[in-house]
Amino acid sequence: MILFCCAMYCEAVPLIREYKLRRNGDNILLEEYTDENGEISLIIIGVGSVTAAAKVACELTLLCSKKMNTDIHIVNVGVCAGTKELRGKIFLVNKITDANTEKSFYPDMLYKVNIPEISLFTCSSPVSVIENNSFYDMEAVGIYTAANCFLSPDRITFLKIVSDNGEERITSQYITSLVEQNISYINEVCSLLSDTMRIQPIYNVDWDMFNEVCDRLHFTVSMKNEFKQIVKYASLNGQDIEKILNQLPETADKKQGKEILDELKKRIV
Amino acid sequence: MSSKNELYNTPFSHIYVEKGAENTITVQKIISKFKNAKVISIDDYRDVFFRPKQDNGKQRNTQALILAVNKDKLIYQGSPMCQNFNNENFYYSSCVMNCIFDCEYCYLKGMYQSANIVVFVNIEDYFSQISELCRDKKIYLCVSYDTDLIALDSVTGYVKKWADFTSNEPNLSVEIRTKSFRRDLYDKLEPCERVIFAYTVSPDEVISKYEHKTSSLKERLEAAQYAIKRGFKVRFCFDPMIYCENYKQHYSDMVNKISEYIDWNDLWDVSMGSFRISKEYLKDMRKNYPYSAVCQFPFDTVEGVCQYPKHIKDEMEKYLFALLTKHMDKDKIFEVDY
Repeated sequence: MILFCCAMYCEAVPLIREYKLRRNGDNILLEEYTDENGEISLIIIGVGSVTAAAKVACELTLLCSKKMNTDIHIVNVGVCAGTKELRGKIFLVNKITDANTEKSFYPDMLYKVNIPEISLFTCSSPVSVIENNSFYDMEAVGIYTAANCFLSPDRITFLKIVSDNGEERITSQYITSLVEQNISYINEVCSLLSDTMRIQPIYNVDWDMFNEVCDRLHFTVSMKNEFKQIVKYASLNGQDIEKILNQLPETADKKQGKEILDELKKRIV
Repeated sequence: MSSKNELYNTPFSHIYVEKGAENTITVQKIISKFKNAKVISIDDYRDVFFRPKQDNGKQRNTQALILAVNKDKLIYQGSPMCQNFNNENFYYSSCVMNCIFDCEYCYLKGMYQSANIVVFVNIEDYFSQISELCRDKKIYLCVSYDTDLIALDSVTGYVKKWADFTSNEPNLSVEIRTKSFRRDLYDKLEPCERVIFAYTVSPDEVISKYEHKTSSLKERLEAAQYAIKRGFKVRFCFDPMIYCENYKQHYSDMVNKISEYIDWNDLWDVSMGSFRISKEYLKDMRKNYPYSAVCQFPFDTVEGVCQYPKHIKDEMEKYLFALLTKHMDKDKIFEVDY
């Protein structure tokens, strides 16, 4: 699934509309919006790195307890400060630096995303001066560090739209319009990331049946692990696992189970 | 659904350059070879290479290049799991970490969390330390264990540097191991009896199934043949031997094919050994490469080393040894002892 995170509701509005997201009333901890199929979710994480980190960690804890974390890709969509000429332009972030500590973080740049790349500084308060054509936000470091506790760096993406140069005051309607203007780019990224997540099951194994057989053969945890490895290997080699599992008899104890396991290993390899 | 090529960036589309190294000639030369690459400045290569929770398997689809200065240890004692060819002072050194080839069984996939390639640009520092080390003793040094230097030579140019350096250090012998087809390098180097070019040789079946992006057996043999013709010392490494269906037939075909290209007497020596790997490395490889039958094989673990069950291991090794002894003297066959 794709998990969008936005600091402010006004950044999220175009995404909520585009993906037809609905407020998830079951989530009492966070302001969360989800689609019908559970493939796209969005959370509002607040302004500032610490709040962002706390909320991202909270949401990923909830999601990972339900799903395998390998199914999740987090995408931060939000505005950032940059030079005037770039206002309204969307960027993919390849480096995030904590402006306070100067420590940098690097999301993996694996996918062919047709959006120019930038390095971004995360500051603890709004900037008023843009130095050396840099870009600034207030959440990216928090999002990255929290997300990376759960997800690999290729599953953490930052899309930033330049909204101001630190000098002007901007309205929430203006921010919404900037995200809206760039929705086609966001859509493209979203669809590309979805493609990377469509993975076929690796092993052709009925794991419930596998567990039943383990019980029937009185396998210990270690024997079960060994058996699992044999079954994975056999599956990758195109052997009929269901047939193999069905052929295994019931045993009186783990000693007999071990004999059968040893015999099976010899036969399979 | 999109194909892999449509989804992933091209290899080296992103180059991370350590601050302090960016103005060196080596870095400038390498960057100039990748005109469309995005160059990202980094403080320390470890901030990228050792990031937590990296997906080595996914990164394999589009490796990034990291250019850095190695400030750590540059020379290591050889591992007991590797063949020392009866050399007393056996060391290895990694001026490059990771490989552009994609062998499913490669220990690098378990040793490093990242699939990205690090090129250390301070090769002169390596040379200084080695000169110091071999001042009063003979050293045998493997320089292409954690990478394939020949395969990456168009990027680094390090093969010639190692060969030239070794020629000038009488106490130093180096082994440069490869699975590459490249022959042109031998025209640019002067043969030296202390520089051994070691070809990892596998049956076609193993190469096509498990040694992705590497050269075919024929290409490797042609390259080795050319090296021998030009007067270079060549070693064949039948290591690791990979167990597969009808392996006897595959290994026998391989030996026959070698005979078509190479006079066995021209080989300096050969090494052989069946696949083995540390338990810790295999754990990560199985996680990152769930589709790989080589990684998912139900190995036996003996003192922390995962290997084929004894009956398979012994049978495979005896079989190949018997094949090899038909062509060469036993003294020139080195079996890995572990």
